[in-house]
Amino acid sequence: MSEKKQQVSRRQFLNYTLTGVGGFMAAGMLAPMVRFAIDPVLQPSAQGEFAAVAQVDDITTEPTRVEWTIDQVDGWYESKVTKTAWVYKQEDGSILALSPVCKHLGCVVNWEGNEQFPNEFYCPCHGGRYYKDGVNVPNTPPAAALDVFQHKIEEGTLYLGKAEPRKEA
Amino acid sequence: MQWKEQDMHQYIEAQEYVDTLVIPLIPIQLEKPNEIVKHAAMSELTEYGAKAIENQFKGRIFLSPSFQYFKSSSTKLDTISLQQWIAYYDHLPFKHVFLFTFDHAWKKVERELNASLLWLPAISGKVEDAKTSEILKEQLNQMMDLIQSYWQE
Ligand code: FES
Repeated sequence: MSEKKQQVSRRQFLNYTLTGVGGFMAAGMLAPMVRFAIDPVLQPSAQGEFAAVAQVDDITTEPTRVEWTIDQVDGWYESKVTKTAWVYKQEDGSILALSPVCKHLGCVVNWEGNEQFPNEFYCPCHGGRYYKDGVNVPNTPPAAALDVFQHKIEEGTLYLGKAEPRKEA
Repeated sequence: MQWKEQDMHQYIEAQEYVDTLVIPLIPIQLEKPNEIVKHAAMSELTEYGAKAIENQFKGRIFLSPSFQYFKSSSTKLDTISLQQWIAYYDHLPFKHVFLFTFDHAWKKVERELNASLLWLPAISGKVEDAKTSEILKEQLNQMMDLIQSYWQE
């Protein structure tokens, strides 16, 4: 009796396993095709998703902080992540959106974060400093300029994409 | 820095810059229904808040895995275990050690612990609610100011 029971359960077990593995394999084979079939616009692409963050008219020459949320996939872990940028209009009227992440060890920098250094970004962790255009002040810990967000303007709205290392002018 | 593989590569390189340890304190309470909910909410807030602080000060703060403790009405808080955690970190060159909690019970035993207690009064509501997150943000900003004032000493 007990043996029979065991056999059944073993068979069941095998069944589950096989369907499991089979299903898994099928999913693996299907997945790439499904991905191609989906409208590319709906595809969260690694490099190019833009988020609306501000009205261009509201942006002044004073760096202001904008915030938005994205769905971030970290390996298998998906979460909502709040992103921030320092945004302002440059002399020539074009917009510059700087990443607030310090290029030393990754703390968040603040515009005029230290009274002693007006007109600069300041990192509270080890006193890193950056000029208004994001270039690091020599002889402070950061060794590179703040990253710059890709941006585009559509119908008066500012959209930001990925932050990229600054290209030297 | 968080206790994650990726962050540790950076930590090993830059240890001398990471002089501040933060240990979140997470209560587990499974006795009374309304206490269960309250403590679970508290734990969520603590974890969320600790990550937010780490995010601002990534380059200087080491966020320890959370210290989890059972909380019942009959037993005392386990200050001995917590003190052992703190002592373990003593081997490492941390200048500042902070405990981060929403549980006011720790306030009463603060003196027995070899660390600075960062306590925030618990707020009701979920982090996702706009109003709760506003209050929490404000609280966290004050906490971060406080941490910075330790650095300036
Ligand atoms: S992380 Fe900004 S100066 Fe070190």
